[in-house]
Amino acid sequence: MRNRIAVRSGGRAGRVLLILGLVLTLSVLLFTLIGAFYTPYDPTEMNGLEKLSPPSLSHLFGTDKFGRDIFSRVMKGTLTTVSVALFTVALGGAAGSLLGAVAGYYGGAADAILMRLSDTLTAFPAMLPALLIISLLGPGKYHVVLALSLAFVPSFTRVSRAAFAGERQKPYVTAARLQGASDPRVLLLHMLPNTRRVLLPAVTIGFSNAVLAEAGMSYLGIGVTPPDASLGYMLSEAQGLLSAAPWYALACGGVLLVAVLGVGLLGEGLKHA
Amino acid sequence: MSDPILTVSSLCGGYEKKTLFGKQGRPVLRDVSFTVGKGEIVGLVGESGTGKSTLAKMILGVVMPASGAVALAGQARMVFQNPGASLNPSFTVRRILEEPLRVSGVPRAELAPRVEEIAAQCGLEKSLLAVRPGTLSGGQQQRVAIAAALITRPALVVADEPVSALDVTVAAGILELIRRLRAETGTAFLFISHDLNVIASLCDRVLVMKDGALVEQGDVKTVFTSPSHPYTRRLLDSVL
Repeated sequence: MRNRIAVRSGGRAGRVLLILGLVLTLSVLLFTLIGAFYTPYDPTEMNGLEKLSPPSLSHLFGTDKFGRDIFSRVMKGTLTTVSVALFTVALGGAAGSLLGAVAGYYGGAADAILMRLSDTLTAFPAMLPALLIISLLGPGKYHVVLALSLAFVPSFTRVSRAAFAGERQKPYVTAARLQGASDPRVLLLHMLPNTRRVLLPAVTIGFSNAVLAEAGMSYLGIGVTPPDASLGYMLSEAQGLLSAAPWYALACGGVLLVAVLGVGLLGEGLKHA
Repeated sequence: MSDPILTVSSLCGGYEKKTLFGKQGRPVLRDVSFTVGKGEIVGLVGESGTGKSTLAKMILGVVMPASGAVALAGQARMVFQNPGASLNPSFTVRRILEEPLRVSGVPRAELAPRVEEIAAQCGLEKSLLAVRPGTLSGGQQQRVAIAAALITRPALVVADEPVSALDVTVAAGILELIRRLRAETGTAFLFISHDLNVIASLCDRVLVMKDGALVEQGDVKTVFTSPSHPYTRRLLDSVL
């Protein structure tokens, strides 16, 4: 009951956040999707005559030091960044949620072992295991996905364990088990939908973190490598040109901001919806 | 009385806590024996903490007894005290009623007619099938829970304080429903309650439990008019 009242009082603000988040997220996704099939210019085509030209009608975000169209490059870069983040959250989130569900549902020894393992991983900064994997396998977008999803597993495990341990106490779970439902059925069909208030915001926060982590790694030169362009890689390029071509950094940073903000608001809105 | 649906013989045991220093805890049930016949409504009374719910869980096979046996001719289902919490909040009423059938492998084509049949029997309007339990009243929720218990046509329904959380008038409706369902389906009920008035009006026989043991059992009229055990007398006195 208390829950429902709280939701009702936060309903209006929640709806505004949800709509704003949806609009921002969908525009970034649309931008990404168009970029997958069409860019105004070839993002790798160089043009010596138009080096570092400021934004204009022919080049909306201007050009870089090789005369490449920044708008086209940002489109491709967003595609890389968003898909890396999506796969990271899908893999890390699914694995972490599943481990957390098992720990929370069964409790006992399974819980103790899984959570101590997760504690051990959490003891290191999330970036450190990711760095380790990259230094073993080398950079590249697939390795970034692998490294980041592993780094994301413990936080998802923790969130999901708490959610499932809370649900497990509820009589509807006992009722389902008494009806003869198998453990996977109880976990996936009965309990999972009821943990969405906790898990969905965790997914959206995870997505924002993954976008930022990919950008950070690529900025440091241990993430996505050319010819793939990513927002983080382009930001690191733009840094050297901050005074000569400020629009470059603004374009990359702006899209990054909208993507993270949109998904963040979406998660906040979902929590209250 | 016809052949028993449920035979409980010399049931002992209950919760045991495993700690670092070995097993701890106390045997909750002590030598509990009784039977429930087909279509019979048997009441189980006693103060909280006497092991009524533990007995229910043993009958349903969730808790294993230390010794003794439970023999069931057919299926047993359970109805809980708090109907709101025992129904999955994400499911619609239709889905809640379908679930026990799906789990027991009933073909999909049979789901809808069975659901609609039991819903009508339990006084649930067809329009309620599409809503989620959170929007229902307590009485409607308990009707859904009873329908979900009965939909697989079990031989026995164990109802643990099913009307304790409800208003008096709503509770009366649920008791009437249980009476009617017993007559129509021949399902037996083990009705756990601490409310002697409810037991007296609903049950054929009553079991009186104290500290994990049955101190008295028999016909409701006999037990309530001339109780033989001092504890039953005290229980009755406290109501009057």
